[in-house]
Amino acid sequence: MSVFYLKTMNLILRNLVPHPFKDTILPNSSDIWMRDLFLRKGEHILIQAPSGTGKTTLMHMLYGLRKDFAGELLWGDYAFQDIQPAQLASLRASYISIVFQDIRLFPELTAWENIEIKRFLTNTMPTERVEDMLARLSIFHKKDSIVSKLSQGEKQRVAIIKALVQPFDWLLMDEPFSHLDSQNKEKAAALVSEIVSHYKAGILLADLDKNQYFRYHKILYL
Amino acid sequence: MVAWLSIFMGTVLLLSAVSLWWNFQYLLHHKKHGDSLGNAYLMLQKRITSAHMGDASLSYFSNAELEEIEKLTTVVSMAKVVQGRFPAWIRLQGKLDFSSDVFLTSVPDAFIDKKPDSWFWMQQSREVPLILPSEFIHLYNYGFALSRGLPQLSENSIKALHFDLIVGTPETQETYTAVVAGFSDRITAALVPQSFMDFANERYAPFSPEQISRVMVEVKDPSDAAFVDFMKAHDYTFNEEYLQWNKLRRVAEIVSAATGVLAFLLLGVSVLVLVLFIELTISRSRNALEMLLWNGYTPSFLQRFFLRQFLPFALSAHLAGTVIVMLLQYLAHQNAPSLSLELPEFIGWPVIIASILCLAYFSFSIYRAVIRSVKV
Repeated sequence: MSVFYLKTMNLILRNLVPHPFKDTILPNSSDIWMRDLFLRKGEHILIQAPSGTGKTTLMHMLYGLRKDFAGELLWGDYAFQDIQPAQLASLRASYISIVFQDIRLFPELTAWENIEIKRFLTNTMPTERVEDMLARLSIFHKKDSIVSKLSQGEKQRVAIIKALVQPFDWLLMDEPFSHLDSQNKEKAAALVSEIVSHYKAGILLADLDKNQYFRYHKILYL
Repeated sequence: MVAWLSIFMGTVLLLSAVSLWWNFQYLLHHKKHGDSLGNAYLMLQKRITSAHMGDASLSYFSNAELEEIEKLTTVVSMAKVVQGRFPAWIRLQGKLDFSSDVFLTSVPDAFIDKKPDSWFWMQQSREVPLILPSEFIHLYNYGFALSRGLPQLSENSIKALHFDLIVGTPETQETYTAVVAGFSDRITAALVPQSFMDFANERYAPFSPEQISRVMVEVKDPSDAAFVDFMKAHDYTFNEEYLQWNKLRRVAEIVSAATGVLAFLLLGVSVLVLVLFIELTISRSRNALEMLLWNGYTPSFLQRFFLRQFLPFALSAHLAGTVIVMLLQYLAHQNAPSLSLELPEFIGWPVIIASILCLAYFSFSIYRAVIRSVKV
């Protein structure tokens, strides 16, 4: 599946400005917009941002879902503005994983099928391990339930597991625990930490407030 | 279902049109039927007028005139009709007292409508095969035989007779045995093999130059306006019955071509329906497709997935259409004898090629529609 190999999956941002925000962002008002940033693979970064400051926009830009921005965004040696569809697919399958704020699962499929769609791509995680993850997040019994019938919290846990069943160098998370109670937040954070450590990956977590889910190397204010 | 039916109907109509055209060409050019539907073979000669009566040389074609005829677009091939430049007569061997002057003619074998197997002559052979006009038997049976109380003769009984063929002037005269090898509907002259004619003219009329007063031409369409105008302008004559028949042939060709045009139009519509069907189906799956791309599936993987869905779909409709056309061809083959025609049992190569091209066109259209619809 992988069509290219990236030796150093560092993230470089240079003077990034999303077009919808270009008139509202002032110089030196953000740690990210209009700044030059170098984020090393393995770093844990918390992006703290109040509502409406472009948190989800940033996450979508980093995942290649939107290209309406000025400046430069490089994953390793690849600039997102010029990346080919097959390279982008490879990046998403093997180098960057994401937990969307709005979850984004196939509502007509079961929880297991949603996870399998992702696992099938690289087939690097044994099914027993995935079942164990479901059990650890207390949703094993919902494995064969249609996603549209699940609660938001259950959906969010399925989305987190789905993001963890592929190899990655960076895990992007946009308010990943917003629908979870404190007990499930701890379980989910522990599972994420375990997998991230396994891959020696970096974390980019965007949230409204400060949190202690992970040991962050940097906190950036959007 | 509509898309499947449209591909099916498009295939059936297109292949039927090609099959119709091919069967028509088969009937036109299949030699087994004496070319009854094929190119016309005409015997051309100059019209005899009062002026010719005093000067026989006016009836001969010059080389320039022959070249001019050969250059006409409708003329496929042309052959000089070589005439014997020596006296000849035949006498029936046996007790029946029958003899007649004959005027021997030869044309290249390719211009003979029903060439008998024994149609050859080699030097030193004393037996010469003859082809007589079919009309000759009618003249004999319904004219001579009835009016003079002679026995009527069938074709086979005439072929069993042996004649003395006496050729040459009294000084060089020789006698051969002539056997009627066949009959011709096309040529109204007593034919001998070309090899015998060349030999006999050389041997019995060495000082008489070859002069051509008749030529045979194979033409695609004797009703061709340019050809008819040329004939009139030069006052050449030929059997004009062909004109009427060839008009019918033109009508059949136009009908065949029109069916082809209609079939192409329908094929275009069927591809349009298919492409719309594909685009609609993919458009309905737009959200799922985007989700799969976000998950890391490549566009080419998704394109291959859709191609695997649509190609067998189109292939099944196309194959069903082809099978129907094959069945129609078989039925045509079965029923053709009742119309005194013979048609092949299996579809011809142009139909197979059309089928392959049609399938390639469907596949290409599907591929293009899928590639266009499944983009990042």
